[in-house]
Amino acid sequence: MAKIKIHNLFSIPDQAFLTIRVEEKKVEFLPPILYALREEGISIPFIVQSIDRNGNFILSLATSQKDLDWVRAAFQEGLDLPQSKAIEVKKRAVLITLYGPHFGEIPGIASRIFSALAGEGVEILALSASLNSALLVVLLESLTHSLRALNRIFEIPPK
Amino acid sequence: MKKIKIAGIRQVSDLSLVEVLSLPLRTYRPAKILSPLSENGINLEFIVGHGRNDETIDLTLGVKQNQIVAALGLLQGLKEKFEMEEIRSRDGVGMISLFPHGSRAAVIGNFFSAFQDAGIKLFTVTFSLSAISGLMDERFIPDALKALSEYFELPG
Repeated sequence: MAKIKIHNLFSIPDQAFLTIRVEEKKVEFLPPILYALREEGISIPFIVQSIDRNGNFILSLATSQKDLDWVRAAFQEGLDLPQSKAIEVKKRAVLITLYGPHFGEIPGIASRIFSALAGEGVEILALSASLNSALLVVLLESLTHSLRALNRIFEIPPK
Repeated sequence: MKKIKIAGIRQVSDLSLVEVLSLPLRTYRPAKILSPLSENGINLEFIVGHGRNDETIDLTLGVKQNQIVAALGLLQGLKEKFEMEEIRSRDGVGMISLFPHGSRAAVIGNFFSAFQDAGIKLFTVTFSLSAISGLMDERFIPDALKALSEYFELPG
């Protein structure tokens, strides 16, 4: 199968990946938390949200590893979450960004990404693909395998 | 509040959401349920996947509304084989994408604030290199645009 031409692929290391489950009634507290992050100069290079089968919100985001404690505390306190379960953290994560043509116009990209990464034994922590980019969060230990898998399906112009 | 300048805004309607909840990650399952969609000409407008736990992932797929019946038929046919816990869908979905200058936390905060002010529930938020997108009931797109205009300044 021919490789898909993309414009660029780059990765941001030293990320922490957080998954937060929150009741819908507490979602109103998200903006103040995000404003607080801005005041601290904390970047959020990845965030997705969906609704689980119980109607609760699931928020997944990546932030710099160095800001993890601050970010975790901000969400814990801002959403009044119990200490134990509501926030899951994966340290040593990497955000991989594929930037290319409009992915919605090319069939099968998502399945090829999943298939290639599974073939290398890579666990995808999160994925968001829309418009002209696909963002993947994987563990640092999987980065080499991830890049090898992605290079098999995408043609990346030399730098 | 000072509005944040953004590079652009885009809206799409006539979408359907398909949510595949608790799909086991093992043995290529996400790829195996997505391949039949592309093989049958069903393109995804967007896809979001994030983990419910270490062994499963929840997938949210956006398809054109005129392809939802075919997409659901294919996925339902694979549900038992691939041990999907639940498949649910929603029609009449709209997507608004904002193209900010950088991925600042304030942009995300304003984005959520605008939807809350308008009383519009976000079904899903997706993120790309250049945009943050919210999925909602398409009937509320005008209200959402009005609310977003209170927080963001469009060029020109």
